[in-house]
Amino acid sequence: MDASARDPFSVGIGLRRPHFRELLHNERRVDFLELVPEVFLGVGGETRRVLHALRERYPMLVHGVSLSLGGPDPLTPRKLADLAALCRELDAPYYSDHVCLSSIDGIETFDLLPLPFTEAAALHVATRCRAARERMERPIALENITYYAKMPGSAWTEGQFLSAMLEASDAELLLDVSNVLANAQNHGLDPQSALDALPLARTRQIHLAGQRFDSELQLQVDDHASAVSEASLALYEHALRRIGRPVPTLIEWDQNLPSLDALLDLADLVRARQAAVFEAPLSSAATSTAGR
Amino acid sequence: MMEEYYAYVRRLLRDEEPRAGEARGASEIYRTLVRRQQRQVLLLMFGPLKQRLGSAGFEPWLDALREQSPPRDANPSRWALAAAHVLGTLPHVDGCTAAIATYLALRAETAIAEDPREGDPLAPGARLATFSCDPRRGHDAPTACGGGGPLVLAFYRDVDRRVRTEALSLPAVAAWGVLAGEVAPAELALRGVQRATLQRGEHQLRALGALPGAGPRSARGCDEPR
Repeated sequence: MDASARDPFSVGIGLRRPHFRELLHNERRVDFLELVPEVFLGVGGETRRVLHALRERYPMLVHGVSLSLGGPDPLTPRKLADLAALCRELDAPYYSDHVCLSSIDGIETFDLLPLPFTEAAALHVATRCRAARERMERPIALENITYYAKMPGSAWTEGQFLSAMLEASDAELLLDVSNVLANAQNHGLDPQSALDALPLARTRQIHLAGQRFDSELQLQVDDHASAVSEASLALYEHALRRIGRPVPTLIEWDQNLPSLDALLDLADLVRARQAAVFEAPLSSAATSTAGR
Repeated sequence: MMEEYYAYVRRLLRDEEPRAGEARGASEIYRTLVRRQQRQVLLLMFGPLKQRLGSAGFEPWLDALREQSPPRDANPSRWALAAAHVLGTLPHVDGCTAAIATYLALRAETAIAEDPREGDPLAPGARLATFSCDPRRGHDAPTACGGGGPLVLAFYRDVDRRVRTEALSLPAVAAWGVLAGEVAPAELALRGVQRATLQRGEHQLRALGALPGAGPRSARGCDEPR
């Protein structure tokens, strides 16, 4: 079921409600779908039936937004059990979430708050990640997020922090290349150097997303509302060269959602860029059910 | 070590001024981002309620909800229940019913968007397919909860497979929520929805041809309010 095991140049898209029906009948190549589990937990009826039908056509990955591994609230067994059940239901080979705080004292922030780049924070996340992995009985990959400001107390670089955290947790890296680019732009860093400092050998999956300059905040904001920029794609190619192997890649597009065709055009482009890095021809497989 | 950071985040979420040594810019950035995200989620969930309350009523409600303890995940049903808690504190809205109605309205819009023709049952035993608010009908339209919450219309296929549109009472909405497995009876009971209310709702659904069978089904497991 692992997309990487089926095709070396694997590119997926996020499962978004407006595309449900089209995806059921889609004939174009989609290597995998990634869904946000919080949208589907406890949901039955027609939505569940569609989800199961899609699962028969596409490999599924589960990418959560609310585990809050950097937060203080206990990881509830019920939440972990629900996530694990969904992963089993969809045959997801691993579960991914973010290196962040997303709730505190039971208050959901609905934004991913960065953690201080400290040893204490790295160990805190690692401890909770190991506990979650044990409870969910599957590997966990953690995504580097955008940090628009360094949190108080930060003593390390992001690269040092993520390396220590992933080492201590033995988790994998979900490398969001666009986040690396935004962080570099917002903090005056060289994007390639910032990327090279991350623990790339642990990369399980890559995310690419659209971003925009927010005039109110005067920052490059990761809003997933447009096509992936050429700068992100160039950094993506650099990342692949550094990693040295093809990596399943997801295009994140959540707002101002384009047509499925436009999204799949972008997926084709990313797949071609990935293949070009390794100077290999693309697979001729063109059906959406390849590998199942 | 982490406690200092958590204290900082708590102050940030309470809109407190940053302390000495804390970057003012960071606080402002994340206050802005968190507010934006919360607002976006709430608008997504409760757009129909805004239509009903108008901005003057909706904005204070959003603020009030932000100050409460929203649920840990983005599950709409949990948001609806959290909203019920807050709405219940406002004098002009019947909190629980309004929130349930809004939640079901959200689901209805989604279901209609997914397939307006099929009208597939959402749960065994219920032929109701979808619910939706109809803000175009304004305040003169028949209201579903005594003039308090949003108008709820049901779009469904009846027992004879005819497509029907009916304005629903809130007992009917609550009963549908239980029958569809979308709202737990115990959660309703905790918020004061009585067994008799659900039974009344089921009677109404049968009268509208929305449920099969002659007699009302029991509202399973719904205790009297404590």
